[in-house]
Amino acid sequence: MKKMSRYKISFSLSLVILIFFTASGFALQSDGLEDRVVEYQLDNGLTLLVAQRPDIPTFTAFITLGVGSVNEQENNRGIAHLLEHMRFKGTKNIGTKDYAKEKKLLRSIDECVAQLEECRQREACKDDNLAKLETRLKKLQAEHRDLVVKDEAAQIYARHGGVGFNAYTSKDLTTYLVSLPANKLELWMSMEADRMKNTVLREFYTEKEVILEERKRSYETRPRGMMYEALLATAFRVHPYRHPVIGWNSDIRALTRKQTRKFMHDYYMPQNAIISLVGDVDPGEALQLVEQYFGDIAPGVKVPEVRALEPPQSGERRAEVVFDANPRLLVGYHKPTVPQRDDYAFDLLSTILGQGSSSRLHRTLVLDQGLASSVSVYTAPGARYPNLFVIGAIPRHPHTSVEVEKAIYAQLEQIKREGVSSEELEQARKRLRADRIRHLRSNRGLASMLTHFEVVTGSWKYLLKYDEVLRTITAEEVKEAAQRWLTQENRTVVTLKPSHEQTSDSSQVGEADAQ
Amino acid sequence: MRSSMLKRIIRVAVLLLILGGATTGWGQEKSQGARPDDLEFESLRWNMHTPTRITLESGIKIYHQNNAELPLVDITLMFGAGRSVENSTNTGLMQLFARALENGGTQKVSASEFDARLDALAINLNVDTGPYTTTLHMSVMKEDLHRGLKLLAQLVRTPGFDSERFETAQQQLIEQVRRRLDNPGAIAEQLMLQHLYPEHPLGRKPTLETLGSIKRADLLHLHRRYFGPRNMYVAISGDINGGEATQLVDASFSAWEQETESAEVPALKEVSGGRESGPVIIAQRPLSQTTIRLVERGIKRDNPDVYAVEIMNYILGGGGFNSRLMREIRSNRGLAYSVFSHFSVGRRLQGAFLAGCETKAESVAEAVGLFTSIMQELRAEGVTEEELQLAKQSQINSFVFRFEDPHSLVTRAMEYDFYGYPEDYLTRYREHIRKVTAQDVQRVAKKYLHPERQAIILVGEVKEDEISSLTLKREMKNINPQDLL
Repeated sequence: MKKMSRYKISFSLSLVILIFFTASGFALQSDGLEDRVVEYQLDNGLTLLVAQRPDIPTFTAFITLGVGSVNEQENNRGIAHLLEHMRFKGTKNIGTKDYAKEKKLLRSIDECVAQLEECRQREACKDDNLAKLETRLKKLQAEHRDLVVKDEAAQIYARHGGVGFNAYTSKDLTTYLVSLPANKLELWMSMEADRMKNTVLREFYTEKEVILEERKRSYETRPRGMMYEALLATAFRVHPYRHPVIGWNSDIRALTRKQTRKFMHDYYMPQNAIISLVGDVDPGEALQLVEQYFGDIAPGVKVPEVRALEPPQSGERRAEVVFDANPRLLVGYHKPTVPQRDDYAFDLLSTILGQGSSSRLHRTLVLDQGLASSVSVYTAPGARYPNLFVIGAIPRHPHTSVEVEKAIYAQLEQIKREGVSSEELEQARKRLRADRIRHLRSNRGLASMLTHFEVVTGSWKYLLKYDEVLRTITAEEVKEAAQRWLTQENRTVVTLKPSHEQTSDSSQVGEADAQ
Repeated sequence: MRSSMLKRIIRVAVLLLILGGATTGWGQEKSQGARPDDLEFESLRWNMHTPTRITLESGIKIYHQNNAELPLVDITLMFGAGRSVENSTNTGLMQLFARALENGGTQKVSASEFDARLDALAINLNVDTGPYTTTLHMSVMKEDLHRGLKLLAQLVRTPGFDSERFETAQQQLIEQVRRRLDNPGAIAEQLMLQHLYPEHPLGRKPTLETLGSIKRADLLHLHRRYFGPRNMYVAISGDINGGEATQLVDASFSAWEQETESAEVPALKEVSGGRESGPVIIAQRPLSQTTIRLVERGIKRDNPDVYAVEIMNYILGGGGFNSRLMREIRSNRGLAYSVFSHFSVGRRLQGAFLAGCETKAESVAEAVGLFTSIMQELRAEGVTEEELQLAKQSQINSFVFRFEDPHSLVTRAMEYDFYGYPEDYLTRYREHIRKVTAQDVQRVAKKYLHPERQAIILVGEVKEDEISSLTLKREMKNINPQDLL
């Protein structure tokens, strides 16, 4: 019934080479990786990547969906992250004592919540009506809890020796991961296929409360979180990269179970899914099991490309976050993403500017001038669409963000004027290569790289060509990229203003009034 | 030449355990039709390789594990001196030592030249300090191993502690202190340490004053006193075989002659008033969420109850979604995102027990009440057989993961020796866990969990009327956050 896909041919070829290489124990450089990774695609669109490492009888499994917060609209922001949580709540088979009974009860809970929401919206809604509905909801939820086997998927994986059972959502993708002893490969297949087919969105309303607390913990009580949110919301006006992955508070509150279920049934399906298995896994066995467990699932709906294009920024933007904390600074510049040559140029630039003690920004701002206690340089917030080159700095008392900002620009201007040296370039290439190899050490690191590049660049093979392309990027190109993108019009600056400074300002006003 | 070097290694104690240890396939689920976990598994057969241990003539102890898959080598040098050598006037000394060592160059190579050499080779170097040790960790590409190790040896034997870099490091740490109040978790941690380890080095955090008083000469003195071959442990892993590792370490350090002292660890004062209710310690911060910690002193590593305590804590709050605290406070009530309990096993002194979460101001009393009642219930009623089996199976079946990362494996083997763990600690771990019974779990819960005596730490916008249920029997201590700096 199932057609042999073209991947099957490359699969069997790879197997031959694989046996050869594992016997000799090779250095996993880009060419080695090519032979080690076995790739296969099911007819329903699901992609499987396997990298065998037989030394220790464990493996790490990633299942990555190419759907993240970038795929959300105004009416469902936060839905990908909410689903990340909800898909831990079990299925029709896992996490329930009696799904048939539960199903009815879940519907009653939905209805009760809808009435409550409606009542809250209406001015005419009487307090005792509201109280009645709240009591009814509590009662229904308690009844429902009796039918739930709490967090049963976590229990099953734990009992079988699983570690790191978790998930994360980013702008570009959502990943579910766990590491298991090698003899539990079939358990993983069976559990994850069940999750794809049969997830039940139970305990939905309680989980929204958890996420509101998560939002407070990760953003609202952290100056860094607030500034990062402000940077994205200021630098992006049109592209959905402007919104936080977790959603804004009102987004989280507004999400309904119905729309969440629809989003899941459309997108959390084979066509958008990539599995990577790294460790003591036999590719042939993995392939057979993936066919057996996932082969009969419908492809689902392809995640649509994001059409929104951020218009070129035509003037510096500044935002201020007032917080009871010490000053900090974030500067971001729009830039192209993979596989543009300028993206490689920025990998080199960010290494030359910010990686290692002798990098330009660290050396000048932290060591020579003592203006900052630390500087960091990175790319954010995703990589599927054009993103930002970000420089973050912590001013060292009594120096101010203003001084630090000036000093950063002086360094950027110097690169735009004089470019970078060939030694710097060579060193940066080596650093990028070494760091990538370090990332490959753990099963988790390799598994995450494989699914990440598969989603972001369309194929994990982007990794193979990376060093080669990087070698062709010239000093002139680095300089030109800096000239093109590191301009005043293209930058967004976020500063943290300590709220006690704010208070003293207003008290001065108060005094003036009194006079 | 190479063989003559090897000959000088007289005492070579090699511990190479290859056990045919096998974890069995636990958890054959009861048949209920098509449940996804209703499967049979072959048992996991594997050879447990523990790292090789070698002692050089110079007294240097080497722990080695080969892994040639990637062209990388990791080296950790560990010295037996940590924060416990600090006193009340120089708190932060070890942190400053570590930072100034890492960034200060050597006597022969200037700090900036040293940085440049490391960066040219894409070497990662980190110096860290803990309660009892200081470690230098280097990650280097195989092709640069010799040059990297030469730099590392030069740094640790003849550090430069460049005076400008010393000043920068001092200013950076001072900046960290100035920013401590920006992080509620850091405030809570400091309050916990103060409460659990009063008048002890491990109970203190650096302040503006203590950091400001430290002089470069203090670091030189510290280096002379504790940093020498007899006090050094080396963990090495990656693309390097045992012979080469031994020879390289020997060549780099054999000529190092430096008499050292062992660092002393001051004893802990007994906590007075063992039967009293613990205080509620409050640091007011204008935040929309309150950080909650419940803390008391925990246990030491030589305590025979460690295994039962590990299982007990898994069920209480260490087992993530499989623990009672997470289930009730997060999953059932939606009060918090992160909920945990942690029984740290002290290696020289009693470790800390802590449990906590973060929740909105109006839920603080409810959350704290749940922590307390869940602990009380565990003491009074113990655990179910199902919970016990889940916790034990989880620990036993996931044991293999301790062998996944070669460098953490060698580092752990090194630490086990340093802290005097029994030689068969790793090999017998699962056996000890298997023996834990439900009675043991309840017994250790009663013995080590004292919810009424625990201090409750709250950092956030705390309103007295909202926590009145907590302060009925407890003393309330308001801390001025500024006093923590």
